[in-house]
Amino acid sequence: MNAIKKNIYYKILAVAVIFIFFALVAPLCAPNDPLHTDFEHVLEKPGENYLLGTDQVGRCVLSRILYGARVSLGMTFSLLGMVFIFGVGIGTVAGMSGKVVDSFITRLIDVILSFPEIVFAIGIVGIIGPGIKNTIFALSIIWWTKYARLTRVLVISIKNSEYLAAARMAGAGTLRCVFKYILPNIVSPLAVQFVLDIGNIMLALAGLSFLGLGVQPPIPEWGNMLNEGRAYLQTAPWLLLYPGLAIFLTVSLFNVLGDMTRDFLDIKNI
Amino acid sequence: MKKYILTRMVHLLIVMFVVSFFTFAMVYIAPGDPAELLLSAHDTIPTSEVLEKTRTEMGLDDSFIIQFGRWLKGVLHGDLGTSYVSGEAVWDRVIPRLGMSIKLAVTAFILLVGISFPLGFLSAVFKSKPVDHTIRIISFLEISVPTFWLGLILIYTFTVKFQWFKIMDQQSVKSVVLPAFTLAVPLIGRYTRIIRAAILDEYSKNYVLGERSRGAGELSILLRNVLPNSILGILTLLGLSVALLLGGTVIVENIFSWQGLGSLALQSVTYRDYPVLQSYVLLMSIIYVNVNFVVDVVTIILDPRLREEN
Amino acid sequence: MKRNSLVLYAIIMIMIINIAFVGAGCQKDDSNQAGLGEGETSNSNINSSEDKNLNMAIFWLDPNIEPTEGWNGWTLTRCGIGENLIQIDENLNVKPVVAESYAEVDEKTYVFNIRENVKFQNGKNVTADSCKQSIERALLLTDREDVKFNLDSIDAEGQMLTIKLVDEFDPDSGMKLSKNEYHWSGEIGIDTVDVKYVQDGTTRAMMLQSGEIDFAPQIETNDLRLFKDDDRYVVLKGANLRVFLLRLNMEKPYMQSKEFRQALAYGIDKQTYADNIVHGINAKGPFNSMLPFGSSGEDVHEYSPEKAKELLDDAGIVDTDGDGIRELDGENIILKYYSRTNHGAGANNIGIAMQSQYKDIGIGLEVFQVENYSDIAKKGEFDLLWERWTSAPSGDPQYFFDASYKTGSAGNFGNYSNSKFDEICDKLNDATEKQEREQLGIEGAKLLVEDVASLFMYYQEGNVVVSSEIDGVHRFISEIYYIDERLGFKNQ
Repeated sequence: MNAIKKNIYYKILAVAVIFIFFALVAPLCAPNDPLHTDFEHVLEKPGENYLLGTDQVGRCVLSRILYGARVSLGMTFSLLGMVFIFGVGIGTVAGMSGKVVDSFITRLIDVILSFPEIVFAIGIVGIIGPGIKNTIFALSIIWWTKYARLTRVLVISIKNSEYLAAARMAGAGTLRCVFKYILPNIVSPLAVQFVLDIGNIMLALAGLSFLGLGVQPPIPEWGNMLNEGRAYLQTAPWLLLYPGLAIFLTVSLFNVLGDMTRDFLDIKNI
Repeated sequence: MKKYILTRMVHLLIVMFVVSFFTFAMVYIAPGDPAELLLSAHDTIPTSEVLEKTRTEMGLDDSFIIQFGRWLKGVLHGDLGTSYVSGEAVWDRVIPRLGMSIKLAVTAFILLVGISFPLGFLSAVFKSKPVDHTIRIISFLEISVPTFWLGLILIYTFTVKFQWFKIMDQQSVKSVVLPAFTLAVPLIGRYTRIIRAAILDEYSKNYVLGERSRGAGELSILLRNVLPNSILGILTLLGLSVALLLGGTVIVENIFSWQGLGSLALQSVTYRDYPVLQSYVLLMSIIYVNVNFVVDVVTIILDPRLREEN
Repeated sequence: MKRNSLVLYAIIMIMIINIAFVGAGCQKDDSNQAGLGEGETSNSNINSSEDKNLNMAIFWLDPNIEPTEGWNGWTLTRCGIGENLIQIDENLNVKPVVAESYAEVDEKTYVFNIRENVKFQNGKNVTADSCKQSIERALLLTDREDVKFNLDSIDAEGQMLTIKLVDEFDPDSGMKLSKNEYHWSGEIGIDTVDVKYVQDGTTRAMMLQSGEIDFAPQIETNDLRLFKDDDRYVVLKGANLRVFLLRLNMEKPYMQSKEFRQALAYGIDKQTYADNIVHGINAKGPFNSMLPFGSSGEDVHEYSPEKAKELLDDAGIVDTDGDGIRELDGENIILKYYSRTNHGAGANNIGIAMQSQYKDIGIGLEVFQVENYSDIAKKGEFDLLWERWTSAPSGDPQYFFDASYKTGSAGNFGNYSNSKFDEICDKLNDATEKQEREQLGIEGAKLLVEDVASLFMYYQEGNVVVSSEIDGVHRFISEIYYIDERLGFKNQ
């Protein structure tokens, strides 16, 4: 990666960080309470009173989008954080253990991956009921396997290397090997996978909310805002335009970041 | 090779068995008494005797394993249980819907192959030219766009504004185009990139240099070596795309009021109609693992290297 | 209208029953045409230019069209599959249909003269006897207590009733109908009708725009402007007899407190909802003010969050743990608000608005729009249940009272019980004078409002949007008819 590209990468990284920061402080920059219904201004066009207009019960679209960012990012990162830690943990165990444990874990992952992910998530949510926590739970059950699988392969490749044999000879125990020698060496590809997944998970969660299975009204979230705005496709297009753009741009941002992280860390084939 | 395929078949059977097991267990642990849920489908408020009788009839007092066995036997005979809502056989309701979903997914797959191959190919051949840049930007946008948003925009543009398509028409050949395209878009972006990368990767291999030095034409290298060799890897990945296609049908069916299995599953979620939901998960997963099995086998047959290994 | 209103009451009964009669005609036949009626339906060759096909959408379709079940009779009359002996026409006048005329012999005896030339779709004659059988069958089978009436005897002469099938029926997508070639009114202007079941109002609007349908009822108010100034469409709109209300579930401990219920009424700004959210008319009670016994005047519980808070404080329902939500017996009061998907966006939006206003007075509200609405209604899993009622389809109050608020009645999902109100229902049973019945209607309505048996939200304007190529469409105030024998294409 040349200097110019690096420069761009840092800039995009900065944008992403600023974006996450803004999402966290949404309550401070939102002009209005996202749940407040202003009946004098129902379905008002974007303009002076409300920068991005109001919805069918007079709520400020801009404020809802800003709060929605927090909900969206919050859900995405808590889900990713969970599956990352769990997946890497299980993957490491599988990679380091003997044949029995390893093949059990591998088979388990195989079975879970036999379900198309959204189909599986709908099945789980259908049984435990819609809602933020349940949706996150449903997606985590399937998503950790990706990290476990990747980690396992990476761990095994290092386990059999001369590098680790040397460490072992120097008297390092298994735990020490894992934390001191293995994990630091496989963190780059895992990080790339992590960043690349942000966009995917965001879309999956927004999609489930759009279907009414994820975030429940009145909590503002981009997916459910689109769902509520559907009925006004023709008469109040701003209800669809802005939340849709919000998802589109955010996912694009993190996808660019993912692509560039991959180039930056020079990792192939993820 | 025969041995390998046989092993894969055994493996497939095991996976299907375990998948059914998980699907059954999922509903088994679901809250609510199936006997009561079923009876309330018939609009009666059951007495405890009736409830008890139904429970016995349904075999709900048996152990988990016996119930699973009975259920599995039913599934193999085309019996997916009784809907809690309509009281009808789930099979009759689900199969026509599945047909609609498959129609959607297959069309989307054709679009996916038909669009992403030429794009990825062009992008690789004209690497770092304007064509490449344009295609890469488009495919990047395709990956990032939420299908549910895109679908709504497409409906508005092409049915309301231009009136090229109908909204509720499910019969004509034309009707499937818009939903299938929506379903395919994110995958088109993804595969355009994958195909581009695969072709470029193949180009970077030593034998290409060898061919060149032997004086082979670029076109001949491309058609004789690069394409055939890269297609195998892409094929495997296409198999995986089926998961995204099958999962994506729910959203697309919802937006386009498409009478497929996904929209039925969504309905069954609001009705807590577990047998229908269960059939949805089961059928979709079975299709998915079978498609991947076929892809595996085809890859083996096509790939000379793997063939030799076995 | 000088007629004794009991007659009208009986008429509404007979109407529904007779939907049954024709509908029965639609149920069990093996032949390939629709029941009696200005019915229509499809051929497979829809695209042939000869075929005069109408595409219409409806917003309600149950799993079957057996007229004795639920509200299916309305589907039959709406799509012209079935006809009544007599009906209330678009101007609220009695119109003879299958019966050429009728007479009231005494208070409890009616004689209907069936037209000579009425035939079922299969060409069989509709006779007095087939009407009799239909009514008897309906009374025997119906699952709706509210439409049953006491039948002393019914006499007829005639032949066997034969039964017919609609061309195609699918509870998910709709049905295809073809015309009754032997209709008593003569040649019908339309050969086939494609009835599409489209729950979502926005989708119905888009289908009109894309040209897929020529006729759709109940377009969302916001979408109406898309058709208003467009000469490709005709918008028929105006008042109807429909009221939207929120039924309260009296089984819940807090609902038993009248103060609490009053607070619920004071806590919402219905006037603004009606004006700004749903563009309807603020409801003052269960009956539209167009009716002689309709509710008018001041709102009994005009929006006043202060009064609401005061009432709640007085009732001892206060917030003790400081989370902004009041409690009863230590439990936060979070109400569940349910509407059905095909109640439309308005039902949900009012829920959202109420959620925000109830928050101000310290009451939680969860808003759900669901498919399994009837399940929730029957099981009483709601606190507030959105309902859409044509509260006086026959111009008489008794039907709504009996069906919906009388102790133990089938539609009384909230188990409302008030002995004074039951007395009024009993009096209505015996009252025969129109004026007396209207007075009882006014009293009953007042009682329901003051006792907050339900929150009566608003009256909606009804609408029907039709392609301007279609002729002979009338908007019925009752909205239990959409198309009838007058339908046709303009240029033909």
